[in-house]
Amino acid sequence: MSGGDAGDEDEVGVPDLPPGVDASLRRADVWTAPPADLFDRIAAAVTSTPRTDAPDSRFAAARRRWVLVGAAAAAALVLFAAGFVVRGIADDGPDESADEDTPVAQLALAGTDLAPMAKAGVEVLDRGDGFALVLVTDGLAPAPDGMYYEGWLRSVAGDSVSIGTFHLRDGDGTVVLWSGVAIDDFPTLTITLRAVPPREAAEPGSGGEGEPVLVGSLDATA
Amino acid sequence: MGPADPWSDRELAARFPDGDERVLRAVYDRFGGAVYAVAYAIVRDQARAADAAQATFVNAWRAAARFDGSHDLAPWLFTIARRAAIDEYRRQRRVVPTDPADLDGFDALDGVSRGDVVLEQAWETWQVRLAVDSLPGDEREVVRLSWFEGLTHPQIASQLDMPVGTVKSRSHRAHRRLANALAHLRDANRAGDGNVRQPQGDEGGVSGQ
Repeated sequence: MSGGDAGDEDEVGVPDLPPGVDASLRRADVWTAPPADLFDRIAAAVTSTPRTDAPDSRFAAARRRWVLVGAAAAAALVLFAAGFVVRGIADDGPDESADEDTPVAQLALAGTDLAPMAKAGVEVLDRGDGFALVLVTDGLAPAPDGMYYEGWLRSVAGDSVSIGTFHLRDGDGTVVLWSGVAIDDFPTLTITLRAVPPREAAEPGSGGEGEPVLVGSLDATA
Repeated sequence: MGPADPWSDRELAARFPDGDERVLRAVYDRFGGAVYAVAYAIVRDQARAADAAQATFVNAWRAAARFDGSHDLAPWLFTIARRAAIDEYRRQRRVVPTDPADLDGFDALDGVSRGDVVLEQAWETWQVRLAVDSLPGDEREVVRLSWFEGLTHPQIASQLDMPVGTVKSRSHRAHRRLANALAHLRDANRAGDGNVRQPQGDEGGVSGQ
């Protein structure tokens, strides 16, 4: 029976709806209409939004960018040391070719309930003075205003080390984080969402490190 | 929602990863109302619901290449819509000092029981809105006047300037369609209190057709 037909003696049997549907049909959210220009807004937004089609190729691109930064830094160091014989600077500099920048570990991150559609691929590069973790994210939204993402490496014992922060509001979703701890000893990588200080009351379940949005464990490559 | 498109739900799902904006328009026409309804169910504000709905389609667009076209679009879109609405709700909470009187029946959207009620309703809203949007326009209006406005058939007939018999026949057809489209809710896991449980993951739900 429909909602307004109480007492209508001429009502012929109306198919019964599943329990609870009648309550839904009485709610405004079932009937509220979006603004007429909503699709135009969407179309304008997607025009300027890159799609994440081939995240794997971004690893090589990120490594190349990072290699150039490293080469520039090495060159600056040589200039600064002009007048001294500093042997091996060129030999100890970053690899000239991204092809020689082989990951020592790779892992896949999966989205938590807070970001079920998000995922990321990670390559871990041993740079001699630490480990670079190149994250290629997919489906992870930019951090809302007043918030940011932070990476954490965690040991089996539960100790955690921060490896850097980012926000994803520009760029192609590729992020490079840095670790000063041995990856083998801290094999779990978590990306959390945190509030920029000063913080309001901590989010439930945050544990002080923020709310997990991506999680994965390291598997060493051969 | 818009002009009829030639694609079934399966065809839309298969084509969505291709990045064709005509397909995006068809997906919006098919699911845009339900996306907006879910957003409104959570944020309870039309402007913010529109922002969340926009974010839903943009996020879906960005992730489209990763969508498995052999799966249903509806559960995937619902998950993105719910997430976008929760994000919008939290953004609103940080900008505007929270007045307990404004919490509108929930005080958190991360597992607290009242928040669970909102999320449960969001799932029901999604299912019912998809079914309602699939009705022909004349039948949908009869259903809306009957359930949301609380009018009797004679009152509806008077408002729409048509015979009561026409109203009754449209009502009967509409309710039969709704009963068929939402039959899975009758068979879904239920709590003892009769509430419909929300499927986990991307279980099937109401499609647009």
